[in-house]
This record gives sequence, structure tokens and C-alpha cells, in this order.
Amino acid sequence: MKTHSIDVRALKRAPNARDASNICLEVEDLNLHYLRSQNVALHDISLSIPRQRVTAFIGPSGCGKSSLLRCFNRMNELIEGSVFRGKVRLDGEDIYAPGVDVATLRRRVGMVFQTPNPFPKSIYENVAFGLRIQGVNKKRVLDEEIEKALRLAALWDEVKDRLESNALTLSGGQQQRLVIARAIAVQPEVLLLDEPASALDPISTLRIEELIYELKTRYTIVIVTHNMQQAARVSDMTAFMNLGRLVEFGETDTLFTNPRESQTEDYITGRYG
Amino acid sequence: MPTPTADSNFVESSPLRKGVRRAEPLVWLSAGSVLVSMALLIALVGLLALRALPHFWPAPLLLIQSDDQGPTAQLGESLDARSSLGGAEDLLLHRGGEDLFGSPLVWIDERRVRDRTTPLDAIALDRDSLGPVFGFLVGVESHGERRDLTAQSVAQQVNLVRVLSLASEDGPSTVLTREATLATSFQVRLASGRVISIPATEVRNVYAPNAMTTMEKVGHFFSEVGRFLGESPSRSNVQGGVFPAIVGTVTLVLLMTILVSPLGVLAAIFLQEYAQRGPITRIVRIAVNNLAGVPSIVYGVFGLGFFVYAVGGSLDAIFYADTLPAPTLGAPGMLWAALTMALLTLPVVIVSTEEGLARVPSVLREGSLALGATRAESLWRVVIPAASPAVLTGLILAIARATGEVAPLLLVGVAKYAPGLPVSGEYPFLHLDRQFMHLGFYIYDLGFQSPHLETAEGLVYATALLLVTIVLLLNLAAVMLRGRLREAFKAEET
Amino acid sequence: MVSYDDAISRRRRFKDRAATIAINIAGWGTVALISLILVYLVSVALPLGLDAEVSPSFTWTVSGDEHPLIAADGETVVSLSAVEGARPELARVIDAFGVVPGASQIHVYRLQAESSAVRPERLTTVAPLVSLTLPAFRPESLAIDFAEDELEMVVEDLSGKLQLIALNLSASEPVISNRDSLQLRPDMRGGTLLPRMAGNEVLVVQGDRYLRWGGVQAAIFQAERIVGGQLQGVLSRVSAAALGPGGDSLQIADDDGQLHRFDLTRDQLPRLGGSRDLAMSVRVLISERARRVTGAISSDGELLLLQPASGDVLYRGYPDGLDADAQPHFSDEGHVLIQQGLRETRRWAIDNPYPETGIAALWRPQRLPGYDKAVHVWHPDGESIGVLSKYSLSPLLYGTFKAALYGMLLAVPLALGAAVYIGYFLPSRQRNQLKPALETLEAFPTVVLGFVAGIWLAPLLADYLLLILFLPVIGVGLPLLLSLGHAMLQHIDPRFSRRPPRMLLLTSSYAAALLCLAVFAPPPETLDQLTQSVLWDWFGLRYDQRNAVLVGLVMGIAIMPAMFSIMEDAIHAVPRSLSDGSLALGATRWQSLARVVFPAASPAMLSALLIGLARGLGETMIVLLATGNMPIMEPDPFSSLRSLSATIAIELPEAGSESVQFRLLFLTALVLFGLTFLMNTLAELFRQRLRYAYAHANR
Repeated sequence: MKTHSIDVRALKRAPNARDASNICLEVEDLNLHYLRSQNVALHDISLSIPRQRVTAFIGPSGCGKSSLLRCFNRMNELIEGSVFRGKVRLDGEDIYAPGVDVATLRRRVGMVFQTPNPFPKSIYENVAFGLRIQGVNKKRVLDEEIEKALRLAALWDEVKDRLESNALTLSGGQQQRLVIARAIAVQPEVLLLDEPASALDPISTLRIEELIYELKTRYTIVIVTHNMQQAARVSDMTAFMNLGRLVEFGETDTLFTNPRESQTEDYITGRYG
Repeated sequence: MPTPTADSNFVESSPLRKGVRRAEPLVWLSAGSVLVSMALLIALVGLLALRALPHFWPAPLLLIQSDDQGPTAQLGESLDARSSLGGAEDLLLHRGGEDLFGSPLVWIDERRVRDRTTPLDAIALDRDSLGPVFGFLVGVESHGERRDLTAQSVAQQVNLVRVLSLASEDGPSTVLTREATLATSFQVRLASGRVISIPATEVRNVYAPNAMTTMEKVGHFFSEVGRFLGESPSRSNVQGGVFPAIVGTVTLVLLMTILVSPLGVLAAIFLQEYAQRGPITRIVRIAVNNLAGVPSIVYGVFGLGFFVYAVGGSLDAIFYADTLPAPTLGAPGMLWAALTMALLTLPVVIVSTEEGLARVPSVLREGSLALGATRAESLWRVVIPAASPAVLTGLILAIARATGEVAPLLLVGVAKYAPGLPVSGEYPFLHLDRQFMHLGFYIYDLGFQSPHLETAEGLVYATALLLVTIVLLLNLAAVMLRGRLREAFKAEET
Repeated sequence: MVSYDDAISRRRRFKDRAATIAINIAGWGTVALISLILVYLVSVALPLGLDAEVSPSFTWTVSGDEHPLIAADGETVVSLSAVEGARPELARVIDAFGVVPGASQIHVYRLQAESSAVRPERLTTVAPLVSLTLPAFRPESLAIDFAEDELEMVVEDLSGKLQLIALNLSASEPVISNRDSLQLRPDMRGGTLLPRMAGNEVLVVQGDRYLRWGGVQAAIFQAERIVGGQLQGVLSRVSAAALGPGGDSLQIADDDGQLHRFDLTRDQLPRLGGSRDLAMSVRVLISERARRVTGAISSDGELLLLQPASGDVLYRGYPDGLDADAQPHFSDEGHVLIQQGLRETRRWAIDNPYPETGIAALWRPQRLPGYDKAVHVWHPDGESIGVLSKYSLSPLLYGTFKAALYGMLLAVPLALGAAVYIGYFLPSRQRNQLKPALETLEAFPTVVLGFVAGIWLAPLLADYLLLILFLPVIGVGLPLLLSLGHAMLQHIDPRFSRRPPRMLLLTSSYAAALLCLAVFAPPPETLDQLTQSVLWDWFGLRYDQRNAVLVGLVMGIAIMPAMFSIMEDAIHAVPRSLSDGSLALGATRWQSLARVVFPAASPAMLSALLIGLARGLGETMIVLLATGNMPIMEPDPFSSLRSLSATIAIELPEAGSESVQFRLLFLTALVLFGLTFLMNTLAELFRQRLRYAYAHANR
């Protein structure tokens, strides 16, 4: 897989039929702006995010990378006055088509935020939350799924003895892993990570990065980060954005070693950002 | 806290100004106002307690022989003393029921008092309708048979009266005892020497305060407190308990809470979570905020005009047309009072719930939504539980406000004396159309409409103390809840 | 592996939609409910401002020997049996009686038909109840009055003599209860006769001269008593003279169209205010008996309805066919205007439900009979004691503000001081204990406060007035003394510049002062004399046992906590960095408070003042119980007052739901609503300003 390269310009024109089965999220002419707030607008963004790989969005703060991420599970709609144009396809299905159930979509496309946001409930109930709302209430199934999710999130060993204690008593890094466990418990296809390590100390950050590496075998992961090293470490594909536009998208190695665009080069060599 | 700097070195100032600055008179003054405010609160509660509690303590019965308008003997409880012109004291004596004397109260000039004793055998009989009788028990008449009791000790006398009168309610209530009570009357000699007859059915309580030991007095005190809380007022309204008023107040507040909490919480959710942010929402929010400051009497006016006359009147015309013009729902009553109070407290509930919701971090909502929860699920499972302490605090404050509020009730439903409780064992158990008694209104009514306030004063103060205690306890609960809420948030922040 | 069920997701979607609908209903329902309060209050109060409407209801053209007469109820029409020489077109109708003059006879009819008959075929013909013979008289001079079964009739005979006959009609047979006559001076002949039973007198107005025969306000008619004089201030020819509303004033219209009013309750017939230009040439003046409504009719048929005391104009127009020559008159409590012509009888319906509640009548001073100056009087149920109701809301508004302002007098210094000390000087641990304790006072039931004020404090205040008035001096003086002492100690030894145990010192000195006061207070008699000589003799104040000072003392306690809470929040919210910065520059704590913290917190302080005032304005129970509730407008600190809210509480339960009073009380509630809503909105705006200003600094 790693050998496979994707020509961004080709993708912009038309999705390659040959690659269709490997493309998880497909963005076409995405435009987004806000009527009342001063959030960044997005202009004419098209890209295809491959399945079961890690795709990183990098760019200076305020470039719109988080906004773009939120378009993938329609969280952008929570901000009043947002106007969306274009298409986002998940497995070929337009998620903005009328009749799409947002709740179902968000179950399929999980999200982890910048600051850890566990609910003020027990660790167990935090992970069980997504399952319970889906109507899973059998204790045996829940126990099993929760253990699975916590193990996947590499948190099980640390919390297995205190599943009933309040999630807010965990450390920041643990909280973030708990939130990831919570997200993967509902078996999403895509995991969106919005600067998941920005509020964490270096050791916790490392653990999160390891976790991302583990998880990509099961999930398509899209991560927003302002940390280029992190992007280089964890991602297979990298998209560089600036001022609400997609500047360059390609294999991470290529993008960092041999950027096509001078803007990209300026950014990764630290001339601005 | 910065330490006080005595003076600034680089500002030129006169010694006087320097002195004033050093003395910090305004700091002293502000400290003084804190103290005065606190003192006022304590003094108020203290005053109520000081005036209320003696009401339950058996007051000694004074037998006063005086030369006022010829030699007279008066027996009664001393209520008040005032200095009259000429430096002498006047004594206010409560000498018993209205039917026995022109007025139950008499001012006695201390200078004319020849003798003052507390006779051990003096008894106090509380009657159902006409106020107490103070005198000496001389006999009992049962089924036309008269028995002399002067030889018996006062304790025996008291026991006898108890058995023959109250036994019909407390003790083994048999047809026999009931009949016995009906046929029994007591002969009581008043201080003046006149002997009157009191039917046993009229007697509600009997005691001999002068012969009581301290322990007995303490017992009497608590039994009086019990009577105050658990019994109906006597028909003369100057004695007995406030049980119907407690039931009325509690029913009103509960009904109000049931009405206001769902509406208030939902409306707050609407404003905070669902309504589009815009000028309309802002206006509505300001309006709601300000409604909390609109005088309660205005709600009463609205309640009377709209609920009672407009809605109640229309309902009467539809459902109770056969009993018109006697109104069923078109008159002040429990339902309309509860609705009015709900309206009055609605802004309080909305505002505090909104504050609670606003304090729930938005990342929690997003987290829940991102897991595929619907909006309703996020609200129900994450947001509302997180906001619940604030919501509860708001509700308790609303309840406290409603409990102490009387003005709107003057218009929409309270009664001076309502024989029927708003809740009872008979169908339909909850009588929404009934007028009801209310602690606050009872204070107003008794304090300002009773003909001989002095005799009822203790009762009013006791009622006031009860009301204040309830309200302050509710507030305390709210304050503690709020404290816990703050701590919870602190834990979250760290 | 967990599988996701479509049915479950459908159910979830349904629940979500249901919740959305429920929340929207609750939200918009609340909005509707809020609007409903305002809309309903307005809808009840609004008709008070309605003008009158006059519409023709029927015309009767007389044929042949028919003499229809409309009774005073405005509905019943009866036919008078023709009597030789009678002139039905000059009939006077009052209550159920019609009086028809002839040349030397007066015929009294009882105008009661079996049913209200307005069609010719159902007309009842009635014969005179009694016909009284008099010397030949001018038939158009006939004037009548009726009260308590007595019908009084006055005519001027051709020899210039007033002939007065009073009939008692309570029995089945009328009885003459009084008969008298008075020779008029030549210059008083041919004047307007105005019998006035309310004052047991007959009034004669001729030109600008008047004559009062009988007793002014006397219990019975005293024939020997005659007072005469000139009507003051009437500059041109009198064109119409009539009794004013309720019969206690004389109203004169002159050729210039000016309306003059005179007080009939006083011997000297003083003017009631200046004249009022009616802008018409008045021929006839008529007034209602139970409401303050006067109608002026001009020679060209224009009708003007006005409230004469306030000057509010209710109607101006030309009702079709109105003819001043036919002497139209009000009937049926002002609902009907009747004109009894020679050939034609007309009736107009007057829709004039709220004539006495115009803007001027409600808020401006009015000259009323019985008062020596323009007054504001609230006396809405005058009917019950047989006088005209008076509907001025001004004394109530005055009382409302008076009570609130006296409350502020105590509350503002206390709240401000406490807020400053707790919010600025106290460490936060103590603050967190003291603040809720003080805020508890806010929930103190006001009925208890009012009760304590009315029952306990009122007599105490009356007995120890000077002593209690002296308490604030102690309250302010002691801290100042202590501060002085502290400064002196510092002067002696700089070690004392450490923070003193303020609360302890203050508590003990206050306690000591109170103890001293209790022990060394002069006896009540001495105090009484002292109060007498200082307050009542020097200042000439009046003292009501329940008064503004009393209510202020207790109201202060009620409104202090809310103000304190806002002020304290504001002071506490000013970032410490600001005042610390100023402290670092060498300012004392008080300086940094006054120059940095106060200016920053001032919008919220203003907001607190407004909220406190609003609470004071709306407070009901305290005012109800501690003011005595007399609707007077006096600035005296020890006089009684009556607030809007107390008025509602007292009067609304008794007011009928259709009465003027009921609607007026709704207007009162609306005024309260508006006042408090306005103040709260202003307060909110001020507070928001503060919030924006420090939103950044606080982060």
C-alpha cells in the first residue's frame, strides 16, 4: 500500500476508478463560509482520503484545517450560520444528501477533540455512552465491548480496577485516551482527531501517537495537527492547507522531503507558521 | 490581600489628609454596615423567637386584687406592661374569653393593686370557640348529677377534666365515653366569684400552670408546639394550630413546583440550546430576566383577571352551567393560586436553569453529538445531568420565594378560615377549586384583622417564626447546593 | 460484535423529533405567556381611555293627541293623558317621575309602564299622579330635583315670586312635605332656577348674580336663610347655568364660550379654578348626577361632553337633530340623551363607559367642590357613601415612590457599605461565608417584615421616636470614632498601623452603645415632650402611627440584600490586577477602591440602585401593613401613604369585575409593571456594559 501514490491533480478532476475501493472519504468542491461568525471560510477543496491510513492536515493556525475536519461528520452544522456547498462522500455516499441521518453518520465517523472532554460520569459509563444510545444495554455485551475499546485505546490496564470512578479523576493523557476509547467503542469507520495531543504533556503525546499507529490498521484516521513533526511521525498522507485552501496533498514522505508548492516548503522549513 | 500601605511617600499632602487616610474611616464605616446588616437579620429572627416561644410556655395565672373602680379580683395571664402617666406601671391582663367579660383584656393600674398571688389551684381551660377560661374548678355535672370537686387536688381536677373531655378524641373512644362527654359540663368559679358552666365538648385543653413543675412546663411547652403544628385553629382563630395553613402552603408550593419545573426547564433549554441566537432570543431573554423583577402583586392581578374571571368563568359556563351564578372555578381557589405562583416563579426557574446550562462546557455537548447521539439524547444524558445542581438550586429558590409570597394570594385564593383542606381522603382527593389557608396570609390576617391582637400575638409570632424557618431552611439548602456545584466545577477545572 | 438496528435508530429519530417539538412548544409557549400578561393587562386597562360615542337610537314624531314621554331609564316611553293647558314639551323628567307644567298647574306623572314600550300600539297612557295648583307662573321656569322619595319643584310666578313645593312620594298618595315662597328682587327675576336637594337650597342665577335660598349644606330647608352675590370672574353675559355633576357645583357658560365652575359646598360660592374655553356658544348645560360628566349644547346643535374638573374632552360633534331649544337632558345614568320637543321626541344612546379616567383626570390636580385648592384624590367607591368617586392615581404613585425612596435611604448606605467591605476588603474565605448569610435576608418573607413593622415597631417608633432616629447617628458615629482612635494610636506608635480587629471592636462598641441607650434612655414621657417640642412644634409635622419612616426602616431591610448582591458581585468582578496596580503606585486601599474599583463597577452600582428601587416600588405586604394606607400626597416623613400595590391588594378583591375601579386597578398594575420593567431593563443594560468591559480582563 505504501508504494501506492496518489496524484492529487488527477483526483481533483475525477476520482480514479481504480482507486475507488481504497478511498474512504472523498471531498469534492467543498466550500464553507459563515454568516455571523468570523471562522475561516473554506474554498474549493477537493481531496480523497484513503482507507485505513492516517491522513494529517497541517497548516498555520486559522487555515481552516479544523473546519474541514468538522465537515466530515457534519459538526460544522453546530455553528449557527454556516453555509456549506459541495460534496463529501463516505464510501461513495454523499453525507450531505437530504435524508441522511446525522446521528448515524456521526456514529460511523467518530471524533476526538482538542481538549479531553470526558463526561462527568464513571469511566465505564463514558465508554458505554455511545453503545447505550444505540440501544445496547445488555451488561454482558457492554462489558465485553468496553473492555475491547479500552484495550484498543491502551487504557485498560490503567483503569480496569476503577471503572466506576469518575472519569474526571483521570490525568489529561488518560482522559484523552478514554475519549478515544469512547469513540471507537461504537465501531466507527473513520476517526477524526482534532489536535488530540495539543493539551497534553510530551509523554502523553507519545502514547497518543503510538495509539494512532496501532489504530490505523482498523480505522481510517484523519488527524489535524499544528505540529509538523507529529504529522511526519504518524501520518501516511499529509494535506497542507493555508488561508482556507488546500495547497498540497500527497504522501507524507514526499510532501515533507520534496514539496511541490513553494508555500508548502516555506511552511515546513519554518519560514512562517 | 494587599497589606495596607500607611501612606504614599510621593504624594504631597497635609497632615490632616494624611491622618484621615491613615484612619481609613470609610473602611470602618463599611465594616459597620456589614455588622448592622447581620445584626438586623439576627435581631429579626431573635425577635420572632423571643415573642413566639413564650406563647407555648404556660404563663402563670395571676390573681390580682385591686381597688380599681371598687374592689375587684382579676385572674389571668399578664401580657404586657407599660408605664402610664405619672410614672406608674400599668399591667395588661388577659382574663379569658370574650363571652365572660366585655373585653378579654384589661389594663390594671399597679398603684391600686392590693394583692397579687399565683394561686396553685387556678386552672386554664382552652375552649373551642370563645377563647380560654381562667378560674377554679368547683364541680362537674354529668347526666344531671352534680359532683363537688373543691376537695380534690388540682392535679386530680386536671386529670378528671382531661378524661371527661378530651378522652373522647384521644383515649379509647367508645360510644359510652362520647355520650358521657356530651352530657358533661364543668363548673368553674371565676375570680369575681361567678360560677359558670362549660360543656365538656367545648374543652380542648386543660392545665394548671401555677401548680406545674418545670418538667411539666417543658412537657406542656412541647405539647403546645405539637398542637400548634398539628391542629386546626380554633374558631375564634386566636388559639390552636396552623395545620390547615401548613397543608395549604405545602400543597400550593408542591402544585406550583409541578407546574413550573417542566415548563421552566424546557423553556430554558429552548432559549439556551434550541432557539437561534438573534435579536428575538435576546429580547425574550431580557424580558424573562426582567419578569423576575416585576412585582408579585401584578401577577396576582393577572391571575385574578385572567385565570379566575376569564378562564375560570368560561369553564364554569361550559361545565358548571347548572350551578351558576354560584361560581365553581370562576372564584379564587387552589388551582388558580398555584398557576399564578407558577407564573411568578417561572422567570426564576428559567434564569437559573439557563445559567446552569450555559455553564455546561460546550465540548461535552460536542463530545456527545460526535458519538452519534441525537440532540435530545445529548441533552438528556449529558447536559441536563451536568446542569442539574443549578436547576435544583433555582427550583429551591423559586420554592422559597413562593413560600414567603403572600401578595398575589390575597387576590387569587387564600381564605381567612377554610374548613376544607385542599387535600383530603374524599374524592377527588385534591380539591383544586377550594380556597385554602396559608401561613403568610394567616400572619397578615391575624395580625391586622383580629379584634384583640394582644391575645393572638403569640400565635402570630409563632406562625411567623415557622414561616421564616421554612424559608430560611430552603435558602440554606440552595446555598449549600450552590456551594457543592461550585466545588464540582472547581474539580473539573483543575 | 454489535449490530445496529434500524428500528432502534428510527425510534431514536422519532424521540429526537418529539423532544424538539416539545421544547419548541414550551419555549414559544413561555414567550406567549409572557406576552399574554402584558396583552391582558393592557386589554383590560385600555377601554379606560376610550372616548364617548353618541348615536341616534330613535325619533318619535308626535301625532294628534299623543304626548309621549321617555322616562329617566331611557327605555320606557309612556303617553301622558292630555290635560287642559299642559305643555308636555316643557316636561321635566327625573328618576321615575315626569313633571309637566301648565299655566297655573303642575302635573306630576309616575312614568312606569308595564313593560318598556317603545311602539305606539303598546304605549301605556298614564294619568297625572297629582296636579298642583299654583299662582300663574312662567312654565319654562319650572325646575325639579329628586332625592330619597322627595320631589322638589320650583317655579317663578308672574309676580316674581319663587314658589317651592316638595312632594313626598314614598306613600301611595303623594304628600306635600314643604311649601314655601320667596319674593324675588326685580333684578333677579326671570333667572335660572336650580333646586338642589343635596344642599337643601334653591339657587337662582340671573345674569352674573346669584341667590341662594335655604341652607347651604343644612340638614333641612331653612326658608329664612338667603345669601346672594355676584358670580366672580364671569365677564360676559351668562348663556347657561346648571348644577354640575353630583349637584355640588354650579356651572356657568358665558357668551364667550367659557365654562365657569363654582363650589356650592361653600357659602361664598368660590370659583373652582379658572374658566375653560369650550369653543362654542353654549345654550344648554347638563350634567350627570352620579359621574363627573357635563354636556354643553350649542345653539347650532353641537354637543360637547367633558369631565369638567379635569377638562378631559370626551365627545364633540353634531348629533343629528339635536336642538338646544328643546332642552335635551341626560337620562339613565348618562347612557341616554333625550330631547322632548313639541312635535318630535328624540333619543340618543351615549356610549360613555369611562368618562372620568382621562389622562388629566388620573394624573393632574383637579379643583373639586369641597376642596380649597387643586387636589389629587383617590376615592374610587364614592358611590357607597353617596358622593362622586374620585379617580386620581397620583397620590398612589406618590406614595409608591415615597415608600420606596424612604426604603432606599436605609438600604443604599447599608448595601453599599456591606458590598465594599465584603467584596473588597474581606479575604475570600470569609466572603464566601458572609455573602450568602446576607443574601438570605432577601428571602425573608415580606409579610413577616410588614407584620413586625406594623405590630412591633410602630408603637415602639411612636414611643421612642427621637431615640430611634438617633440610632443612625450611632451607626455612623461609632465607626468614625473608632477610626479616629486608631489613627491616634498609629500616631503614638507606628506598630498600631497593623490591621486592627475591626469586627470585634465594632461589635463590642455597638453592643455597648445599645446597652447604654437601653439603660440611660430618658423615660417615655420626657422623650414624648422632647419629640413634641422638636418635631411637631418646630417643624409642624404630622404624625401617623404607621408612616413613611416606619415603612422605610423595614423596606430598607427588604431591598438591601438584592442591591448588596449586585454591588458586591460588581466590586468583586473588577480584576484584582487593576487595584493592585494602583496600590503598587502608592495609593491607599481606599484610594484605589475609590479611583479604580468604583469607576469600573459604577454601571453595576447604578443597576443595583435601579433594581433596589424597582423592588421597593413593587413591594406590597410591607407597605400594606406598615403605612396606614391613606392616599395622601404629603412629603412629611411621618405621614401615612398608600402605594399602588397596596391599593390593588386592598381594593381588587372587592371591586366588581365590570366596574371602573376594576379596570383602574388593572391600569395601576400596568403602571407598576411598566415602571419595574423599565427599571429592570435599564439595570440589565448597565450590567451588560460592565460585563463587556471586563469580559477580557477576567479571563
